[in-house]
Formats: sequence, structure tokens, C-alpha cells
Amino acid sequence: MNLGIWILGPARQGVGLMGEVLVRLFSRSGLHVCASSGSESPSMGGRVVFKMTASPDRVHVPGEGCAFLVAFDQGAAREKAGEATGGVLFDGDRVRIEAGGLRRHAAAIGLACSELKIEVDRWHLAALGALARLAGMDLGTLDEALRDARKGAASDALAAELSAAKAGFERAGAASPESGLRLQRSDHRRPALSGGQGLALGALASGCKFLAAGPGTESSATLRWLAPRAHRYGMIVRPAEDAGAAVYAAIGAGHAGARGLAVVADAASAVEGMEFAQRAEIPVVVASLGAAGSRFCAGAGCAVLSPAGSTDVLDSTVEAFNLAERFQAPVLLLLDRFLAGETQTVESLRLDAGIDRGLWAVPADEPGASAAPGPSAQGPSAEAPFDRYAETETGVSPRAVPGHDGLMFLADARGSADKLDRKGRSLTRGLKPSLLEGPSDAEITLVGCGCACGPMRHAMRHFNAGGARRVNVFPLRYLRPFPAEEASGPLKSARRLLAVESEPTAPLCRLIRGETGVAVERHCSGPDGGAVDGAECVRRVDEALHD
Amino acid sequence: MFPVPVRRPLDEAREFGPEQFGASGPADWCPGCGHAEALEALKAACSGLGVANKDLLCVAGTGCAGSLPEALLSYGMRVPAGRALPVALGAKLVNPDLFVIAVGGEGETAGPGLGHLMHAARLNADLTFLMLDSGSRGFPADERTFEPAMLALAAGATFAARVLAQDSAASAAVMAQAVQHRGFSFVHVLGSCPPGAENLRLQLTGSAAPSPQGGDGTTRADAAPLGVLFDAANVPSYEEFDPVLSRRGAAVRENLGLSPKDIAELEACFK
Repeated sequence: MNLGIWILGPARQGVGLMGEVLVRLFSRSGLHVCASSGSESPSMGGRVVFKMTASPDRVHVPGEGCAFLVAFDQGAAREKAGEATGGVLFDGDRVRIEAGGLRRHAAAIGLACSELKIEVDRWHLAALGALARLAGMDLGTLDEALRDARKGAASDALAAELSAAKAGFERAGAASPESGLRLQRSDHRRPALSGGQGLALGALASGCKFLAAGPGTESSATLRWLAPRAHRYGMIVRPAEDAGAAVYAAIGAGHAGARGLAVVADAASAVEGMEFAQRAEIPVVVASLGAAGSRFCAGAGCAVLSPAGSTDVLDSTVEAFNLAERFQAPVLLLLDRFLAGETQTVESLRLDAGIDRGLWAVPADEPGASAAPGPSAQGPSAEAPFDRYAETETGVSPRAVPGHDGLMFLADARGSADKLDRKGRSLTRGLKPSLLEGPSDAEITLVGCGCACGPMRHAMRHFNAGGARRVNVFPLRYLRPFPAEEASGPLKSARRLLAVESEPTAPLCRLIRGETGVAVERHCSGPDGGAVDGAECVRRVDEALHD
Repeated sequence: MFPVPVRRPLDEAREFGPEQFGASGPADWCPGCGHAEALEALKAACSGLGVANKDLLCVAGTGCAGSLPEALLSYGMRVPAGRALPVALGAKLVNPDLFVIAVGGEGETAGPGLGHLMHAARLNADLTFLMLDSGSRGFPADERTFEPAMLALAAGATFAARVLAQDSAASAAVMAQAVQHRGFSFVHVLGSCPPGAENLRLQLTGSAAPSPQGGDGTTRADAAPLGVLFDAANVPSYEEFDPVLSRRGAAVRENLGLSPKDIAELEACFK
């Protein structure tokens, strides 16, 4: 059984806080959660929309069905009240639920500030308390989650907020005492994090010591979470004047020997810097948090990773740093605002993943260097000065950082194309295998990347319920270098293929065709480049199955 | 295994002299343009201060100025036009033990690099930027519409100077002050592009060729004062404010893995 909650309210009215506390409430009760927050376009009302699904089983899409709707204003009530199956929460002083505007068994739960005797600007807390009661949570769990979310708030303000939440909790209990949903809970606290936070944690776990943030990323989940904490872990965080500056600053850090990350709003603005890093063979990771859409612009010696859902961002980030140093190459982590903003529970956080720093030349000033050079070293000598770009079979040469005797070199972008090509092939061999999820003999294979993975898995679960073997999923984690040989098997043997991607112009279909020769004829995209909706994905799969 | 770099004490390095930075300049500089003299001045300044070549990172853009690190026996980088400053900044912040010199020509500095110059000056990180101005693009003496040193100062640079490239001794003295300065230092090095480039300039601008000794007897130096224009010695640099650099030192010397305590603390944040 799933519980879907939708909250629609104006910006800066507490929707974000409600979402944060709700995720804590459910994840701390051992439930799986998938939640997202976004903004409507101004023409649609410009509201903040929070959607969440909680379930005892793993969930892949936020707001699957709407059990409860929190309507901050009349417009939200008018547009969405008819979708709520359990009830609509509203401020009875400001919002009226029209006759016949609700579903048959849905309750109108009025939380008038005047009746609850709370300030209007604390109404969201009353609504939060009411939701907790309706979801069968106890007041102590709510109290703890709210205190944690408001850490640092003045004690009198926090007391008033707790009081407002309690008033809402009690009011909901009185209004519909039997409506408490009984989701199967446990004492196991599941970690819950957004894709953006996964990027931040992955950077810390990878030993990244320098982060440069381009414009438009300051309010991302990554920066909001990481910026106040980074110094505790020795990470320098710098806002950069433009995305190019962010990438080049991270390149400078990488060249000097630290793991550098550039966070940019759009991958397109990182292309120039990445091309330089590729040819100069400097490791750097660039994370794009921008608009949905797949941009695959990268040549040999570059990698483009697209995490297979928000729960994969942490692991992908660690992998990106290791690939960057192992192959001395730029790696683009292709997130988008949907993946970055989506919060999901995970079983555990893998924060002690191995760190692979790649191949290093042994400097002359290193103790014992001349006596016993390391196995990976090509230490310089009088006869053979250090050659940073020495030709090797793998295309990867031992690197050096400024500050050592005998290893001075000029880093520039005049690298040999042959060497980069060899490196590209080595990089392809160094990628993890792409795995088909679900039954191998399914009637249809869904292929996609990034934020499409959640809706694809949701559709697979929907159609395979009760042991059916109708749908399987092939998430593509690597867009460059494209694992053509490996991907060809599942794609060519698929009985039907449906590509799921947010971009309506279908760049993923073109990439697959170009790399494998497989034409993906069916395509499911989001509205106007928006995220693919779980329900829409189910509908398109259903259509394809009946073709 | 990552080899951690350690800076050589200045007293030890001083004895190596300018020869440690190599002997000859790159072949593609025209005689008399001033770049070779600027290079010699930089070598003299660094060796005079006791900077070991292994501890110097010179990051330059493209064009003639971009050839400078090629002629300097130290760690060098040649990056796309105008991008030297952000690269230099990233390198300097993760390893403050390095002496980091960014170099740009006047065209790239006034074009793609202008925003980076403003922000580097504002940030006041401990970097030196040499703008090798051959006069072929942006700043001829008779078109004083744009004054980079003043612009850098207006943006917050705590050191600005202007030198004549052909006067190597004076340039070396000023560059030494710039490298020693704690914070962002900007040095406008006035050179003169020889006749081959003047033709291009004439086509581009339609105005007379700049040279240290113009046809009317004036020099580029006459149009603008030379020497140190501003030196705010007591302004704290960015490194003194940054919570990591001021308390933990060079990021390149940090262990990369998280400690069990860090992991437990981070896990608690998300439960």
C-alpha cells in the first residue's frame, strides 16, 4: 500500500519545510520514500509543488496517486481537490471547497487559523501536524523530526511552531479519527537524500578538496547542504563568476594534485573546459545540474556518466572521481534538476568506497625514489627526462603535480589524437557492466538514463505485478564512451523497445542508433522537456504492449 | 601513491640563480617585442626571491604571451585564451605553497579574460598576473580608452604596477615586489609588437603603430606612469579568510578518505 501526498503552495510559505519534515517522518519509520519539489511556471500559478510517495516497499516515483492534498490557496483547491482520494487539507478562513469538488470518500479537513488560534504564517505547520496524524504517525516522532529540521531556530519560535503542529495534529484527529492510514512501519531508520545531496556526499567520500560552483547552482540541494559543512572535511568551496571559470578552476585544482569538482547549471557551458582537460589529460569532474535533456558532447578520452536514478548519484560521483584520476580525463556527471531535486530513501550510504588515484611518476625528491622506483613509476633520469605525455599502450602516462624536483613539464592541449584514442578504448574497458533489470524474456525493454530510470522502474513494477514477465529495464549509465558492444546484446534481443527520456527531440534514440545500429522506434518523453511522469510512462508502455 | 609536494625553503633555493629557469626563449617571439625581456625579468625576480623552479607554476593563455611557460623551466600550463586566471586560482588554493604566476596577452585579457581579471582582483587571492601588452590589440598609447591597471585596482586588486618590458632591471624589481605581495598583484608589462604585427594592427584599427619610441617622439611610457602604482601591504589575502586554508593548510596534503567519525557524522545527517 502506498501513500501519496501532494502539497501546492506559494513560494516562501513553508512548503519546503513541510516536505523535509515529512520525508524524515516516514523514512525514520522504516518506510521507503520518494519525493520531489518543483515550481510551476508563472502561467500555471507559479506555485511550489511538493509530491511524495511513502510505502513499505521500494518506490520509484514521487506522488504516485494523491491520498492527501494540502491546498494553500483557492486555485490549488479548485484544480487538484478532485484528485485526492483521502482528503484535502485547507485553511478554512481563506479557502472554500466547492460542493461536489471532492471524490466520494475524500474528507474536507478544514484547519482554520482562527479556530486553531495560530498565526496565519504558521498554517503550514498545522497542516504538517494534520498530515502526520492522518498518516498514523505519533506526536513524538513529529516533534523530533520538526526539531531536527529547525535546528538553530530560536527557542521561542520553535515552541510556537511545535504548538501550531500540535494544534493541526489534534484537529485532524478530531475531524477524522478513523482515517489514520496504517502503513507497515519499523524501527529501521532509512537514510533519505536527494540527488543533489548524493552528489555532495559522493564528493566528500571521494576526497574532493575543491569545489567551484557556477552561477545558478547556489540554491541547488548540493550547495545548500555542502557549503556550510565543506570546511569540516577540508573542502574549499568557491563560487565562480561563470560556468567556464568554475570548470577551469577545478582543472587548476586537479592539475595541482587535488580532486576538483565543478558544479554548473548547464553542461553546454562546460564543453570548452572539458575539451581542454581532455587534451591536456587533466582529471576533473564536472556535474551538471541544469535543465533536463541529454547532452552527450564529449570526444575520446572523456566520460559522461548519467546516474541511474537519484539513489545512484552518490555511487556515480565516487566512480566519476576514480575514473577521472585513473584515466586522467574529465568526467561529466549528467544530473538534471529532476534528478538533483528528487529525494529517495536508500538502504545504506556507501561512504567508504575505495579511492583510485591512478598512475604517478616518482619524483626525484621522494625519499628512496632513485633506489626503488614504484611499479607504476617512470621516474626521470639524466638520460631520460620526464615525459608527462609519454606514449603508452593504454594511453595513460604517469602524471606529476607541481612542487616536485625533476618532473617539470608543460601541460597543454597538444596531445596526440592516437594516444587519446587509446585512452578512450582503455576507458571503455574500465567501465562497470551495464545490467538489464527484470526478466530477460520480457515483452518490452525500456531504455533510458538519469531521471527516466525512476518512471521506467515504476512501469516495470506495475506491469510485472503478480509475477508477470512483461517489462524489463535497461538503464544506460555511460553515455560516453558508449558501451556499444555490451549494450548491443540486450537492445538487439529485445522483443520491443521503448526509449524513455525527458528530451522530446530524442537524443538518446539517436545516440543508441549511432553507436549500436539499433533503431528505437517508440519514444516516451516529458512534457516540454520536463521530467517523465510515472503514470505517463505506464500509459505509453501499455500502448506499446498493445501495438 | 600520490606524492605530496613540499616547498623548498627560500634560502636554499636562492643559490640556484636565474639559470635554474632555463637559458633560451621560444623561437616564435620576434626580436624586440618585449616578451623575451619580460621572461628574463621574471626569472631574475623569482631567483632573487629564492623561488625554486619546482615550486613555480606559470599558467598562460594563448598567443605570443602563451609561449612564456614554454620558455620557463618550471611547471607550466598553456590554457585557452583568457582562462589563465581561473586555472591559476584553482591550483593556488589547493596548494598555497606554490608560487603561481598567471600570464595573458592584452587581447585575451581585455576579451574573454576580463571577467576573470575583475573577480581575481576582487577575491585578492595570492596570485600574480602579468599582462604582456604588445600594443597590437587593445591598449595603444594614443587610444587611452581602457586602462587595465586602473581597472584591476577598481575591482579590488591590492597591488598594481606598470613596467616597460625593455627595461628588464626595473621590470624584475617590480615583478619581485608583485610576487612577494600577499594578495592579488597585477603587472601591466608594456611591450611593442614589431612591424609584422603592426600591419595587422593597422588593418584592424586603422591607427598608427605603437612603439616605445613613437614617431612624434613620445613613448608608451610617456602616456602612463611606470612603476608600482598601488601597493596595499596590510590587506589580508583570501587565503587568510578561507576557513579551510586558514586552519588546515594545503588541500593537496589532506588524506582523501573519510574517517569513521566523519562517516558516522554524515550518516546521522540523513537518518
